[in-house]
Amino acid sequence: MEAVSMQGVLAQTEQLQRRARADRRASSVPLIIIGATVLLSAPFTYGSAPAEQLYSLLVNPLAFVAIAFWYRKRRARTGIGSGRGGYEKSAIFIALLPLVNLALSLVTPNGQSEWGIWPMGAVALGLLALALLQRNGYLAACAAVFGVATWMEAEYILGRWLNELAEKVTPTPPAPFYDGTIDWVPVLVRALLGLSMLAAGLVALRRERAVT
Amino acid sequence: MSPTHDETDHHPTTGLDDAVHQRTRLGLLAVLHETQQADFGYLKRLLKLTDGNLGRHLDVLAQQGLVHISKGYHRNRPRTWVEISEHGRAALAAEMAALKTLLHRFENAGPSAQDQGTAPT
Repeated sequence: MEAVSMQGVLAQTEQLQRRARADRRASSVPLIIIGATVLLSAPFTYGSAPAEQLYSLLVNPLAFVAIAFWYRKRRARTGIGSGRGGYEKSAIFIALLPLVNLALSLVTPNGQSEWGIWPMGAVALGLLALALLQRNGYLAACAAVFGVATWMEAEYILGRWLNELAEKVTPTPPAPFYDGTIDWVPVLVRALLGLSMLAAGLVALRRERAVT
Repeated sequence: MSPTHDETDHHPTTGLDDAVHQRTRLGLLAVLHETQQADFGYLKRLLKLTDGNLGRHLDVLAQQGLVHISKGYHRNRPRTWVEISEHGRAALAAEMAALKTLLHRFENAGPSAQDQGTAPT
C-alpha cells in the first residue's frame, strides 16, 4: 500500500494515544494536586523549620497517595486505567527520603551532608520518574523545571532575587517586614512555585479537554 | 547496485507482526500502552467498534499474549478489563519502529520503490 496510507495509520494511532492520554487526565491531575500541596506548604516556610519538615514528611507522600486514589476512582467510573507507574511507590520513596537524609548526615563528620535531597526535590524526582515511565513529555518538563526551581529556592537564589526586587520597588520597606532580609520572601517564593505548578496543571487540563 | 543479503534480511517488513499490524489491533495496543488497563466499554466507544468486532480483535491479541483479559464486577454489573502485557508493549514498539522505518524509506526512495512496501490492512 501507499506511503500516504501508512502515514495515515501512524497518525491515527498517535491520535488515539493522545486521546487516551487526555481521557485519563495524565498531566493535569498530578500537577494540580502537587501544585496545591506546594502552595499550602507556603505558610510553613515562615517560622520554625520543624513545622515545615513535618508538613513535608506527611503531606508530600499523601499528595501522591491522593493522585493514586483519584485515578482509582476514575478507573472505576470511566473504565480508563491510570497508565504505567506507581504513585504509591513514589509516595513511599518520598516518605523514606528524610530517613536517607538522616543516615547521610550521620555518616558525615560534621553532620552536614552535601548529598541530602531537599523535600521538594524529592517530589520533583518522584514526578519526573513517573513522567519518564509514562513517556509524558509535558509532565517531565514541568517536573524538571520544578526540580530546578526548588533547588534555587533551597539555595536561596530565588529568595535573593525577590529580595533585591523588593528593595528596588520599596527602598524603605515597613519595619515589621524588614530586618536585613525580608521575612516573607521564602513564603512568597514557595507560593509562587505552587501557583506555577497549578497554572501548568490548568493549562494541561484545558489541553486535555480540547483533544477530540 | 543490488541490496546485499544482510540488507534484505533486515528489511523493515520483517519487523511487522501480523497480529499487531492490523489497524484496529494497532489502535487497541496504542490505547492500552497509554492507559495500561481499560474496560471493554471504553475501548468500544473510543475505537467505535461493535461488541463482536472488538471481542474478536481482543481474542487475537490475547492468544498472542499481547493483552490479558479479566472479568469482574462493579456495582453488581459485569465488567471486562483488558490490560497490556510487557510482550504487548514490546510488540507495539517494534511495530511502530518498523512502520516509521518503512515510511522513512518511502520518503527517501523514488516513486518506483514505493510499490514494495506494506501498510496495515
